[in-house]
Amino acid sequence: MSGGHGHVGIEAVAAGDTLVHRLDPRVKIIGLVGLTIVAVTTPVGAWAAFACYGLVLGALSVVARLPGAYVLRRLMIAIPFLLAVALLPFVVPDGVRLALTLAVKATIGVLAMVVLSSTTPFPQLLHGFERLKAPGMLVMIVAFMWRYLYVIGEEVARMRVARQARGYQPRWIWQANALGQTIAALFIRSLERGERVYLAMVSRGYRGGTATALMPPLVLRPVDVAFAAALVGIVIVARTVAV
Amino acid sequence: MHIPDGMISGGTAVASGALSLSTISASLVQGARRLKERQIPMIGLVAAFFLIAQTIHIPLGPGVSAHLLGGALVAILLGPWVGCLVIATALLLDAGGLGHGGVTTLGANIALTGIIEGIGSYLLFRVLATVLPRTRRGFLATTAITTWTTALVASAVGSALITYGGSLGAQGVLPVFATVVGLQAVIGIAQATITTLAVGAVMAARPDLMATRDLLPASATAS
Repeated sequence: MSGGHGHVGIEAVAAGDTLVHRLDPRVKIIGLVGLTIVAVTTPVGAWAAFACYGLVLGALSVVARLPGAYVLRRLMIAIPFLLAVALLPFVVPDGVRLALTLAVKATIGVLAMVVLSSTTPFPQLLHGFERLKAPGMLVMIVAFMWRYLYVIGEEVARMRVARQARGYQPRWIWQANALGQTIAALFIRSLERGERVYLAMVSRGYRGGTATALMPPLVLRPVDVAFAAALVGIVIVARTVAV
Repeated sequence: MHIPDGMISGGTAVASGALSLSTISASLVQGARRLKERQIPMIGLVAAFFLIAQTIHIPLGPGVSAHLLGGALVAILLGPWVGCLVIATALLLDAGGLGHGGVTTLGANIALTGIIEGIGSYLLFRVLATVLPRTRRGFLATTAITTWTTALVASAVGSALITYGGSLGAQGVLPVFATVVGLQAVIGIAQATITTLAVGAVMAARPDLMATRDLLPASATAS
């Protein structure tokens, strides 16, 4: 996830400056989540409709200049689910159509979220959700979670190296003791760090308020409305005509 | 369990979404009343920890996978409301940012992991703890049984959601239940083991942090 792995990270891609990146986050959230909902409720075997949704997402990716390798890499996370769905044809009558439809729906869902998260820097995303009436406390929790995700991820990696350096090569479940202790240590550290973070905030003058209070206000522009209208139009056509 | 988009019907998604939404709202209200603002960074951090722990998973069948660490750990250590918030926010980011599980199935996934494995674990734990001996071993045994049971129930409900309430339909009931619940029963042993080891380690290091500390033996090291 971090840049140190030699491949592009989410925030680096999200920091781009294309038409899609500049769209209002609220419009993108509602549009892409809405697209996913429509795709999911599309009946089995409506290949033309699915192709439409895929084209829309593909077009957005192209305009946003998302790197192909990056998008593929993120789509690959869905593969375990797709493999499991591949078992369906043997289990259920008319399974092949169903399996393919489910695979397509799952992929569309993942791709929609990839587009959303890759064209909207995280603070903007939070701002969008907050303006869409998400509870302030929840937005704050998500903000902290995102901020410390990489920190905890690196701690996990360090602990793994430390275990291996001490000759830990578990094979059987009763050898999982060190794993349990690692988890406990991470948990306790997270709790204590959380306390420290709050104290640090208070000692720097924090008196309540949300993370996005200081950001420039979101304003809907004509291009945002045009995007929303176009998306709605295409999706309605796909859903009703192409079925 | 992370059900991907498309595996449950619209009615199921809406119903489970409403259930999860009301539970999260209740947790937030409880949080505002009891926890106060100072706990918000802590919840975010534990959610980050839980999110990373969730990434270790084994696919069990169509749309179902077993996670090495389930909601039981968080609920037993932090209580039902905080546990539910931690799990819900982690699943939110899972769906939106990591592609684990669908956006339309968030309600169902939160219901499975947050409500059944989370709040359910806390309740089951409390009930079992009154029956089992109040020793360190008793505490850990309660943890293990709770973890295994709630994970199994969650897998059963999840199977019901994707068959009766979803795309696999009623004809898929037998094979889905057989594979998913059957596999979960076996993998659940590993999950219960790891959760119990982790809880044991927290008990030894910082028992004062645990929400269930009132159920701990008088001396945390007494067997």
